[in-house]
Amino acid sequence: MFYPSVLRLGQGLLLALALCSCGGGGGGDGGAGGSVCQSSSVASVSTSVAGSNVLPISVNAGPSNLVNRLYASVTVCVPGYTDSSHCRTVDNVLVDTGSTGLRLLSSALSSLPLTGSSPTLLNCQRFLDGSFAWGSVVQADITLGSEVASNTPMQIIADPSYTSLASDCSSSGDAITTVSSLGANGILGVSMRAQDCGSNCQSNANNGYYYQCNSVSSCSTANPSTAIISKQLTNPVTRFAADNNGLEVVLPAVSCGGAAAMNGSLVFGVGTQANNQPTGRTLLQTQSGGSGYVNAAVSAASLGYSANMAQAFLDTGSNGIFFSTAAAAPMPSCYSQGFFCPSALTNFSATLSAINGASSSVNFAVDNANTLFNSSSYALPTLGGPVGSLQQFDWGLPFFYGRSVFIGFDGKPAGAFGTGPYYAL
Amino acid sequence: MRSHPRSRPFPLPSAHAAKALALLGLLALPALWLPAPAHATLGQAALISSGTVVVAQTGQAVTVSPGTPSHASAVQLRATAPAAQSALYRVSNTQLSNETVVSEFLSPSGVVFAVSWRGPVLPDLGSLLGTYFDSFHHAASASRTQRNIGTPLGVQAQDFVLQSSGRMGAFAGYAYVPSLVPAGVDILHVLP
Repeated sequence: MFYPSVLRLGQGLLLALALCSCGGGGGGDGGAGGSVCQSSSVASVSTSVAGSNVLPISVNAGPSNLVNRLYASVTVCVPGYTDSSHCRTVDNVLVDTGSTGLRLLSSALSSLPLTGSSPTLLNCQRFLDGSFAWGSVVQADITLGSEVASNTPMQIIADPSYTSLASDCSSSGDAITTVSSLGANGILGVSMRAQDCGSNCQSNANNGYYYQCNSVSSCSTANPSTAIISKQLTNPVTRFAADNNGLEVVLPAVSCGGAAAMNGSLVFGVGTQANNQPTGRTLLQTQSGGSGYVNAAVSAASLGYSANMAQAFLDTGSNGIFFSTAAAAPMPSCYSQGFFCPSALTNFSATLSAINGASSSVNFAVDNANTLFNSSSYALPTLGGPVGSLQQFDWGLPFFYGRSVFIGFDGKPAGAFGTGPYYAL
Repeated sequence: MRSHPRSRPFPLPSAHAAKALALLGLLALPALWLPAPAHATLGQAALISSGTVVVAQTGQAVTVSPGTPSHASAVQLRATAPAAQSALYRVSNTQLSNETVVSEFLSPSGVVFAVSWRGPVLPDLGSLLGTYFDSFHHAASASRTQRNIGTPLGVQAQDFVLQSSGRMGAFAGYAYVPSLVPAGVDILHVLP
């Protein structure tokens, strides 16, 4: 979100108290009736998990003044090297549980000599707005905190050596080539899926993800290509020597008015260390090979609204709570239907349920986006917006505030607790 | 993403569901495999002859039961074929080689008044939206200054509506031209 600075002056000091369930800490949700919370902004909130399997994560203004974006710092090295001339540490990388694989802008890598297949494999990541990230697939040692994914495929977005675009990648919108267009230096995709594409890309060249240069010596044309699993973009956490069966997103609670900065922890592994035990958590199983969907039954007493969405997912890469109220009680929207702008804070309750029969109750609230954007906060727990689908419920980053959420990787067991893919709350 | 619900039945407007279902039941003809042309474009005449009626391939399951409108599972089709028809509009489903299914909604005169998509890859919106692409592109660019590029997009321009949602590996969306929607069709009940 771009904030015209004039709108920020004197904002964030609203005195009204509001009922709100803004995430409750420790996996709770503040109680069924919602908890009273301040609508004024605070400077920062923090929580931290100690351990060698932890990557610090934060929500702040980042490079582009966008709200509700979770960032981390990532180090990539030419495989086998650890010296500074063969490594780069890149900050402001978006932590995204909705995609798979590390993607870094070439501008953040300052000519680090990373290489991949020969001829070079290229990757197209398409976004919902038609924009796309195009670039070479290279091998790198990826360090997250103190854990290393050795010789792991990643993408260099806007690699200047590979400017020949595949038309079916570029025909829906704009190339993401800069920090300002991405709002980050890259994307750390740590979803429950190990690869960005999977088996279809092994056998089908027209897969829409992978392309290959027309020759070893040049790349005047990028042709559709198969890509074997081991060459596809891979969730680097799955490549760790240990703590590789899942992760836990731990973020602090924040009041309705939000915070200018938030600090938390990305803990690797499920049940592998003293600091990542899932004991007592509710495991919400999702379909293996699927899209990470659970069911969400959602209601708002004040609106007389209730609905059921079969395609609900938890995604740190979405910057709000996105769902449709159109079928029952349309919420006012603003910013060209980008966000909800209700006249007052609106409380919702939801039940997430999964194919293993487990369920978990969640309270959340949605406030007026105009009000939120005019505050000095970048972590905004009550930001929501509409989607066109009546089936989808995109639980973006606000869902994670005040919780610790386990994400179990597809096919990876966590002892007796269960086998991924799952969420555990 | 192999198992996302591509085969979810198309919701048909309830008032016309019975008619559509009757057609499905009566016209389960052997498939007429057409060449796979580029699909048609929003707001333009369909490439498929409006006289062509193909509902289901022999041997494909067509589940028809009251209250649960359904049609031949588009996921089984590899060529362009009109898959469902009512008196008010027709639906033509195409599964692209990347496994994404594109549906085109045709008026009785054969004009594409809506399109939808569902699958692992966002389809080529340039060709799918035609002259409406500029409206989409403008809105997408504006949206990028407000929302993450990975979050859903809604466009409500003059005589053009688009919704794009989903996540990596599971895209879904639709677009339509309100002025081209045939009289009597409730567009929000037609679209998935």
